[in-house]
Amino acid sequence: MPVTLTSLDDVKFTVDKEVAERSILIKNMIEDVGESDSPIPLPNVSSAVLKKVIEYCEHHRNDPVQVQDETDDPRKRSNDIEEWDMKFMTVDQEMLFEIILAANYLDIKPLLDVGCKTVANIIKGKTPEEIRKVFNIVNDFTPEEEAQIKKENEWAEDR
Amino acid sequence: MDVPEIRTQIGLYLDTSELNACAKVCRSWYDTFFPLIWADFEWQSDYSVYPQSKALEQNARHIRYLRLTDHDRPAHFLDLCANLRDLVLMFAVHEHAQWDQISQLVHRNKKLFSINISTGGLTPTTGFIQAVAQNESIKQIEITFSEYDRSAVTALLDAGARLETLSVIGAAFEDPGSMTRWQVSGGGFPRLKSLQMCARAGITARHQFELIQQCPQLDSLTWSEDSWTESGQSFPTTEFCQMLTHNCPNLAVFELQIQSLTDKDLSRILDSARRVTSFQVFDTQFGPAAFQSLFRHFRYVTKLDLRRCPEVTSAMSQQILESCPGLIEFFAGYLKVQDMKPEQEWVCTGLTSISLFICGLRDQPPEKQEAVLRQLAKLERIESLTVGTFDPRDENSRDGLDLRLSVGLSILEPVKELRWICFDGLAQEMDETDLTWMVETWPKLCRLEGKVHTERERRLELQEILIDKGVALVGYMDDEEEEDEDIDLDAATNTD
Repeated sequence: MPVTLTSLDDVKFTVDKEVAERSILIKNMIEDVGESDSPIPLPNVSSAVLKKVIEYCEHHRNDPVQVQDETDDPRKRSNDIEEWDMKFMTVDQEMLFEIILAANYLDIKPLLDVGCKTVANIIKGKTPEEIRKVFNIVNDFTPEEEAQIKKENEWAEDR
Repeated sequence: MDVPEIRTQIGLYLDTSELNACAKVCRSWYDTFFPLIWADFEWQSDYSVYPQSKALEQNARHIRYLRLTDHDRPAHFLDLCANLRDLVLMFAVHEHAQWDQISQLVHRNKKLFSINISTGGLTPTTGFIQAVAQNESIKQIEITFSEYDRSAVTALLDAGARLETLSVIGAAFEDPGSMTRWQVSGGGFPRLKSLQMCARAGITARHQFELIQQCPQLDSLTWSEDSWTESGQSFPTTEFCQMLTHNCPNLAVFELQIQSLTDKDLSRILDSARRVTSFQVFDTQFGPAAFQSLFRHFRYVTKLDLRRCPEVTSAMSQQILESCPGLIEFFAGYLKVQDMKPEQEWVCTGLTSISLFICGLRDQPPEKQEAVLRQLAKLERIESLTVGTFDPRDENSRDGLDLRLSVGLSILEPVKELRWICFDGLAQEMDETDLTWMVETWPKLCRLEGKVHTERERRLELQEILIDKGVALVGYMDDEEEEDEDIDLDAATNTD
């Protein structure tokens, strides 16, 4: 059963219902609307990003649905990304964040997790300056503030 | 792109020092990551740097997961923690006042979900146990090596109605047998899904069994032997099987460390369980009858531990590997190469952990080993691979796998998730190229167990490669000469 999704820039994508429903948002929309051929508008997602998201959902269409696990370890692992997912996530930074935002909006938890783990892996081992460089962030602290923070958080350096 | 919600999500995968780096990036990142630095907090006496007490007081409210491994001095910040989700107590208690402060802590934290108590010294006070029992948000309790009197047990039973997980490990109970009320108030443990019952003393097997029977939602049971030996009773197989059918139909995960369990007992248990997904019964008499009963569960089973069960044969291991598609962890004794069938591949390609002495390779042509390695190479998710033998008679066995490039090691190139490999008990004659290959081909490799070479001098030379790359090399110190060595094998384990 096919479903049509319309992106921000009015591009239409037709996918199997099963694939589309990896997004809980879309799944709920379909349930609310019932049997209908009208396309589902996704004004928050551009076609380039939607294409990637659909690719992910197609590949993972048969994965078991994740259950919210309350007993999750507070420090989750980020080194268990599957090889296909790793290749999938090898995109430029802007696309990486767009995918994460889309996964968040569309409520596709596994994709959100993989995206966040990927960014976490980029952050690991970097100094604040290196992180700023990678993400193009401006340092808006005053030198006094920086010194204060450094002192405040010294205890957290080696934990 | 910089959305606080996303940043928080990313923060879940970062450790404290990484969160610290993120908090220093810019103001908006500071706002997101600073509280997360505090979310997971451990108070331990051998840290070289502590937060300043003012910082502690200001930020105690951010702490969600608190681990106290030291409680020597009254720590004022504890009085300011009010948002805890998880509490782990692992310290020696010297004064009742410490228990009082902890009781207040439990009382105050209304969102507390789990509590893990592994304290030494003074036993938990009644006040503390009651605080735990009365905190309605606590769903998971783990108790290790503590002692409990009757009022404590009563209080715990009162909490029973809410609990989802209960672990009792090495705890001792003061004569609950004399309690007239053993039934849990309000009818059992209606929400308990996971129970670990490994008490050290004081609670008879009979009483433990009565507890288990009151858990209709139970899906996981760990039950150990100590208390059985003490009472001198034998396992109540008939009643246990009836319980499986009538009281606990969801019980699917079994860890039974009870040596007196016979093959017949295990067979009956497997027949009575509706669906078994995990069966860990090492050190039991698991044998042909139990194996027959296991057939029905083959398609559901994800974890099997049949180590040190003398009746488990090589043919059984092979059959398990070719019949259990969902198997993720498999531990058994041995698998003879002659029992492996080239036309019958292992279906359990999702295996992440396997321990099996693959043997029968002594003096065999190289094709035999190559066939084994090709089979292992198909386990693309494997993280932990143990192919050595733990039989003390096999110190330098040449009957197992020979892990060298010259005899086919490169066939194992696809197992990119491999972290641990253990070949203890096997004679090896690896050289620099073999170890370099391993380190370069398996990016996640962090630990080798076993002797990389039969000669000590060569071992010392070769382990340099591993130390260099931060791979731990663990030897089981059965070589007397090694005790004289100055080389600290532990040094290798610290280069993680």
